[in-house]
This record gives sequence, C-alpha cells and structure tokens, in this order.
Amino acid sequence: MKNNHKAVSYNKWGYIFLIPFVVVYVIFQLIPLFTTIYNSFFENFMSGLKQVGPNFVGFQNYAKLFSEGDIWVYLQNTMIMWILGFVPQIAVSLLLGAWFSDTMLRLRGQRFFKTVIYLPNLIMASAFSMLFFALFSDGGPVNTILVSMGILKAPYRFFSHVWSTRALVAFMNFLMWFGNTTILLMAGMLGIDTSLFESAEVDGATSTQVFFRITLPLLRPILVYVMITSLIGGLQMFDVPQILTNGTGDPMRSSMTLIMYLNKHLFNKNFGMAGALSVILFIVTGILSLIVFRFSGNREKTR
Amino acid sequence: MLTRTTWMLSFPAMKKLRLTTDVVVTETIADLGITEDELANQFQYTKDIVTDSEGNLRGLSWQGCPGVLIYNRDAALDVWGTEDPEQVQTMVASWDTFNKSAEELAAKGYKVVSTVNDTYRVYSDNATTPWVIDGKLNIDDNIMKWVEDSKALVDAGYTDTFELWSDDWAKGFFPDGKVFCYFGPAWLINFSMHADEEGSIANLGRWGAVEGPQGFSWGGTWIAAAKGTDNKALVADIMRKLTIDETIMTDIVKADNDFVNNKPAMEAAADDDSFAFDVLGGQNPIGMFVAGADKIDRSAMGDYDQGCTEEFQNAMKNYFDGNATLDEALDLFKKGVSEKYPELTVE
Repeated sequence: MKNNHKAVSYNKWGYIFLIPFVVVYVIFQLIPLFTTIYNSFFENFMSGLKQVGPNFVGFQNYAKLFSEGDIWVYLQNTMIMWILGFVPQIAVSLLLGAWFSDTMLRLRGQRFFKTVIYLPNLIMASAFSMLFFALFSDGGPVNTILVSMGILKAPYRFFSHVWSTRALVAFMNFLMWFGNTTILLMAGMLGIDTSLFESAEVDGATSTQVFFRITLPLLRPILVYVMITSLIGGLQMFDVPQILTNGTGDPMRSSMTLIMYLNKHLFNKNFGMAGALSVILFIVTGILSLIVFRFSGNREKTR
Repeated sequence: MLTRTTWMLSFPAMKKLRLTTDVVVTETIADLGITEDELANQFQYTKDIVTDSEGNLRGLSWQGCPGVLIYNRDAALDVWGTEDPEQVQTMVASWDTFNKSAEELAAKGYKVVSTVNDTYRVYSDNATTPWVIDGKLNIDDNIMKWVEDSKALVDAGYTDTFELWSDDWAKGFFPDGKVFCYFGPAWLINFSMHADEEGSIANLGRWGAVEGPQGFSWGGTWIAAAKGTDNKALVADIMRKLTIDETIMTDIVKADNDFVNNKPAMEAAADDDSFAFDVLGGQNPIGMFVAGADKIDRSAMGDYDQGCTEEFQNAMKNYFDGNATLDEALDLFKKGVSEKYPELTVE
C-alpha cells in the first residue's frame, strides 16, 4: 500500500511539470488550429473600415479556391523554388558534414568554419532579402560589376525574368539553411560507431565507398528528419520571395508562394479565404510529409 | 486627439477618413467650432476631398498639391540649347510632343522620365471616371492611354519600369542619373529629391519647373479630429494655426519651398521674388501652382483608389517588361483587385 501511494505522488509531479508546455501548446497551437478551420467556413472581411460578415457560407471559400485553380500554380512555384534550393543544400551539407566528422582528415579551424556557415541563418530573412534586392537591382552593384567587366553589355533585369527570380530565391534559402543542415547531419555522423569506419579501412574500402556504404545508410533517420522539416519549411516559404518581389511574386506571379497568396487575402483581413487556404496547406503538408516518411526507408517500422 | 494622415506614398488617408457616412471616424469641422467663413481662403478641391456624402467637412489641409513637370536644366541645355522654362514647355506641351522629345533626349543619352510610373499620376489624375462604378471595376480611358504611351516609351528604350521610391528611381536626382524630368508637386521637389545632399541636382539648384503636358495633383496631408476627442479646442487651435494663419503658412513656403492652402497669400507670393525656390535655381513656380490648384478636380476619387492603383501598376509592369500580353496583364490586375476587394465584380 505504502509503495503504491508513493508512485501516485511522483505522477503528480510529472503532470505539474507538463503544465507549462500543455498550456502554451493549447493556447498558441491547438486553439488557433481549430479556429482556423472554423473561420474557413465564414465570409468575413473588411472593405476599408466596413466589416462584411461573418456569414456562414459552408464550403464556398474552398470551392472558390479550387475553381480559380491558382492555388496549384502557387503550390508548384513553392515546390520548384524549394527543390532548387534543397538539392544543393543537402549535397553541400553532406559533403561538409562528412569532412567535418572525418577523424582521418583532422580539419583545422573547424569551430570557425562551423560558425561561419551558420551565420547567414542568424540574419533576419527580410534583411537578407533587402540586401539581395539592392545587390541585384537593375542599377545595383552586381549589374555594375558585370557590365564594367564586359561580361554583360546592358544591365540584366534579374527581377523581370522568371528563372533568375526563382533562382535568387532558391539561392538565398540555400545560403540561409545549409549551415543548419550541416550541423544536424554532422551530429548524425558523429553518432555512428567509429569502429565501423576503422574496420572498413582495414578491409581497404575507399572513402567514397565508406560514405555510400556506411555513412549514408546509418544516417537515414537524421536525413528523413532533415527532409521533413525542410519540406515543411519550404511549403511555408514566405519572407524571402515576399520582400524580394515586393509582395507581387512577379514576373506574372511566377515566384508567388502559397503563403504569399495567403498574405494577399490578409490585405482586407479576409479570414475566411485565408483560413480555407491554411486548411488546404495543412492537409498538403501532412500528405507530403507522409510520402517522404514512407519512401525514406521507414517501411519496416510502419509495417 | 489628432490624426495625421498623408497619402504622399499611397492613399491610406482617404481610406481612414472614409468619405461615406457608413463608418465615421472623425469629427466634423463645424463641430470643432471652425466656421466656413474662416476657410474662405482655402482651395476648393482641398475641401471637396474631405467632404462626406452628407456635405460635412471632416478635415483641413495646410498644403496644396498641384503638380508640375520638374526638368533637369542641364539636360535641356544639352539637348535643346536652352534652359528657359517657356522654351522647354513647348517641347513637352502635349503627350505627343512629350513622346517626340523623348526620342531627342534618348539620342543624347537621357531618359525622358526615370520610370513609367512617374507619368502615372498625371494620367490618372485626369481620369474622369472612378475605379469602381456601382460595385463594378472600371478602367478609365486616360489610364489606358498611360498604358499605351508607356509601353511605347519602354519598348523604344526611352525609360524604365522601376517602382517609385526605389533606389533605381531616385538615381535621376543626381546629374549622373541622366533623367530629364520628374512629375510632382512642391513637396516632392523639396522633401524627396535629396535637396540636402551635396551634388544632387536639387542642391545645385538645377531643376526647373514647367506646366507639362497636363495639369495634375499628387498627394496632400489633412488634419482630422478623431471621433470622440476630448481636446476639441486644442485640435481647432492647431488647425487654425496651420491651415488658416497666413503668417505661419507663408513662413512654411519661405523656409521649406512648399506650397500652402491659402489662395490670396499664394497669389501675392507668385509675384514676390523673395519666394523664389532655391531648388529651382531661383525660379518662382507659385503662380503655376496657383493656376494648377484652381483646376484640380478630384471628383473621380473613390474608396478603392489605393488598392486599384497598386494592383494596376504591378500588373502593367509585366506587360511593359514583355512578360505578358496586355490581356494577361489586365487579367492579373482583375485577379489582384478581386483578392483585395471580394465584394466587387471585376468582369
């Protein structure tokens, strides 16, 4: 009996320590999640200072989003810019991670380089895009240098062409996030038993073989984590293209992401349409994350 | 409490004051104890803009914002051998001559304007129909004329498609920017054209002012009393000092080269050499401003101007840059408007 009593009192402390998290989670995550879904069924916006609604309209907001069809274009834009940035990001991060964690190389100044590659992430995304906007503007320093070196005859209008705009967005996302990914992957690589590398070496394996046969397979759980978090981050891409294109997503909205489209509906506080879009985004994110999870070698676990 | 509203950059002021009586956020001027007789010297258009649908005046402005064509004297000297305002006016007297002059300017390496958006206000201010008629989107003929003329200028390489207020736009404030002219009211010349910066054209006093192809107005600042204020006497006092007191108003003109909302005082200043603008190399443009202010008619102004103007300029940039046909750009404009104002029909 006495033992039982003690166990209960320990449980009590467990719950008490959980309270801060649960309270914050409920207020800032769970309630907004449900109110977003709730809001998506209403017509509710401001015209100037005049409030329209809220009127219950059922699935009308969803119907409007799907019938216009723009949402798929913006989803496509988002994915294109994410992939353009993610592929070099994961490649560079794997390479850097492998070098940093390789005990045979014994790189000097590791701490310095780890700090430097992480630095772009510390700058505010908006400040970073302002900087790039100034650098690549029609009369900006990049154009001035290219013209004076004779590489270009006339300034290249980076923000008036589809692929140069998309590439700049992707490049900025790559710069901002490859440091973070490197550190995550390196942590995964350092967690691999060094005796495996040593025995591979004794067996005469080349460093390429070691990387593809030992490092990569054992790194899989971390890779999946990086893929999913980056995918979710990519789908929510907003600040960089928003500032870089002044909110227009030009040329012809080819660099407009889903969240930029959502932001367009917030000009008039259109919580109905914005809510519906958020719910769709929530579902799309969920499906894509599941796909990544399934195809990344976690079949054994899910079975 | 005071509400300071300005639409120099966009038009938030008009949105906040809201001319319909559905939502009232400001006290009427009559409620503050200011009589119509006291306001007799003000330009009529400054009062029309802030008069609500029931005829109540709801704000007062100290500024008059008729616009002029502000030209680079050195460019005029270089291309036509004269910097005299009367001669230069003949080169830009109508849009046809203006566009023809653009070719001559381009031959000497000058852009006629920094960007097509510079001329937008001139065309849009002369529009005779509002953006929205009975809940339906409407594009005025004069605004379509802007599209047509601008496309021709961009295609010929006579100007660019930068946004207003961007760094690229502002390059022409300096001699190296090689821009022939900007369009703007008094506040643009003094506040926005880097007059305090050494080496700028304004600092050298090398701008000149002429009427240009069409008269227009741009911006303005109104003082309004927030609904329910407990400082009515104080607000009325500030309004009287800034928008009625002739001494204070003429001091503003002398100190800051601005143009104020007091017709008799400005008419007198037009012939007074002590009011000459340094930024214009000693030219006194006040007579031109008075004539312009008398002609301003903002009856086509409406609640949707800010959003429609932004969307229109953004959409047309795609057309000018060659990324879309005119129809595609117009569709993009309609899409943007329907996102901002779901209650409107756009087709």
